[in-house]
Amino acid sequence: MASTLRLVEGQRTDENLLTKVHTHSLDLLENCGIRFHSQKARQILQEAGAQVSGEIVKIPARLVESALKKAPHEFTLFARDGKHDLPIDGQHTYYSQDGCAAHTLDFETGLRRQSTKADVEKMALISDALEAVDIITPTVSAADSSVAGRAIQELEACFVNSGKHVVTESVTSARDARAQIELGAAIVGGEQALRQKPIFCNFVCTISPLTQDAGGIEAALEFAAAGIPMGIYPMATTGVTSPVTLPANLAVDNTEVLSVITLLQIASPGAKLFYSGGPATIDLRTGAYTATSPEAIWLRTMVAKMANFYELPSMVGAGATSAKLPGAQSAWENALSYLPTSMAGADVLFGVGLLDGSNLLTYEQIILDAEVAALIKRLLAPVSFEEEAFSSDLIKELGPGGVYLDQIHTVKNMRKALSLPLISDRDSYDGWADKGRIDSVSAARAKVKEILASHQAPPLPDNVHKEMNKLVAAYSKE
Amino acid sequence: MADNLESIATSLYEGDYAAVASLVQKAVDQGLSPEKILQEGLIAGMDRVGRDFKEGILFVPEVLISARAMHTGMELLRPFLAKSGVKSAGKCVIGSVQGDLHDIGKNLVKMMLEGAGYELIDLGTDVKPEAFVAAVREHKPKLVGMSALLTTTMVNMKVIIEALQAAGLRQSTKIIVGGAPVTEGFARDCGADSYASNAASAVDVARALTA
Repeated sequence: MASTLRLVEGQRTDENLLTKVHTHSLDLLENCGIRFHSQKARQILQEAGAQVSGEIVKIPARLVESALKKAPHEFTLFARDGKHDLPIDGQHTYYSQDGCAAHTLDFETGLRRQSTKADVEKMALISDALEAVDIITPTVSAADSSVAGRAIQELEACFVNSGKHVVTESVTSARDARAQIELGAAIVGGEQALRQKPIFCNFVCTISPLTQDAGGIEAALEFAAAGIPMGIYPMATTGVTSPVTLPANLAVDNTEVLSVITLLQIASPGAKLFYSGGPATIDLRTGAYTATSPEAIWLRTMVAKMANFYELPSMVGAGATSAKLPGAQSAWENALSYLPTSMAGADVLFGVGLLDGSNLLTYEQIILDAEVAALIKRLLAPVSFEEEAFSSDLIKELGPGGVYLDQIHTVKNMRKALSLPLISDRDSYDGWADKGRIDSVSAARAKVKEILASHQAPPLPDNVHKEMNKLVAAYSKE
Repeated sequence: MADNLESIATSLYEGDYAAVASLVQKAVDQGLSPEKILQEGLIAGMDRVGRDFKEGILFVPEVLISARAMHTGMELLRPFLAKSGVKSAGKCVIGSVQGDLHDIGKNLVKMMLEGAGYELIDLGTDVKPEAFVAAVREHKPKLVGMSALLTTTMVNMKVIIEALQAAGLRQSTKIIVGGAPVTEGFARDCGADSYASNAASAVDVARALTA
């Protein structure tokens, strides 16, 4: 017996509306079609009964329906440290770092610069230390690595600096997918072991509207064949890559997701797939990509609801504030984005730590976001209504006017009953003033320094390290 | 007559391209000089659009619809302009660089530059260095615009600029780069002449480079 504020149940009232989105998508798949740049993908779909004309693939409803039946409803994301395995069971919302930005606000100079592999390493280490961040990702591009070696080096940086599950993105060729699979296999003891215990997953971005990149899709086919869980992540933007009306955006996103689910379930039946998406809006004044407008947050919440409709696990884009500095706007926008998406039952939220619409990394923002994530997790955690939780005997014992502060019952239960924030100030005024009148961004900065100075990721065995280095060197050659 | 030019400007501001087309045709039929129609009708209207966009009165989709109306008017007017020896603002070769299929930003820049009177040669997406070189050789553009959305493809901008250099064409044209991961610093490092952070500023940058 437990009560929760998660509103997964509330979606039943939407069932008819979500069915409309599904129906429109089936119509688009069959009568408009998807542009698949990959010849391999076109061939797989054609052999299964889709109509191919040039690069356009028209997919009949029966293929989609049968693919949806093959997709598993639950699976587990494993962690290489064995301590942070994440059952994707509809009972949790896990928070992942955001990705994949090209710029960093330098922690020392405060100036914007191109992101580097060292940023990936540090962000993985910071998130490894933060309890509220469940999943690591290459938050920024390792732009100082060779283009050939970037996919494997970004994943390597995450594995070395964190024991948690890793999600990769922007993998744009079957070769790069292979590199990541081999790296993961080196850690868990071979590709068969990796299939049993995938310690990383990937998501493939569609190119809205209704287009699938060749390299990304061929990487997805490679991952699915190796048993690596995959998310299919459209980012249609209202008024640019979808019509400006919100249901149309949902239908475009949904159509793109269904087309790839169909492809991957035909190629690798039973493939572990996340229904994903990070739809957005434009700012009408500038055309700027906006992920935290109320409309964008609404759309993202609906992505979680669509996943529930299909009974598929979901990985939903959240956060990605438009603010250029950590502060009030970045905090309210990301908090407002995390809450309804979590309440709608998203299994994974992708979006911790970036500013400027997922284009800019600051180390401080990840602390602010982790704080919000922890607050929301606690807010939505089930609260036990078992008999002993009512503590009736104690209330009777102390009677009217009783004080609970010095009771053994309080000491025994308080750590479980009440949570503490990471950096939020709850001090008395004098206490706050005595400690130097610290504002939240300065507190986040201090936390970053503390973690970077003291935290160590769980080590990898020497022989695994050697094997990883060999793979990285081999795949980094241009 | 002046009323007619004013109507062209107003229709263009409102994005009514059918009206722009018929009014431009009417003005030509009445014997107005093509240059006057261009300057006091089309460009006057587009300048108003640009001003109100900067003021936040017009939104991006409205600007694009006006730019399309401008394009319609220009298509009609171009043969007459050519006949009377009036030149366009200049040719511009544009494309998304090799490996990159993203073209929304590139297409916006194209529309805006067309709206400003440039003649655009669009090479599309995933454009190889050889294709840029061939287009520059053939069209002798005042400007080359390159776009990339991915950090893995933006490096190809440098490759393309080096290819233009090797073909002896680099000095013949000005190069503007843009796209989400591109910055002013990157533009400098890869050897471009300039960088525009959005489609509207691309027009200002282009005008400054070709002035």
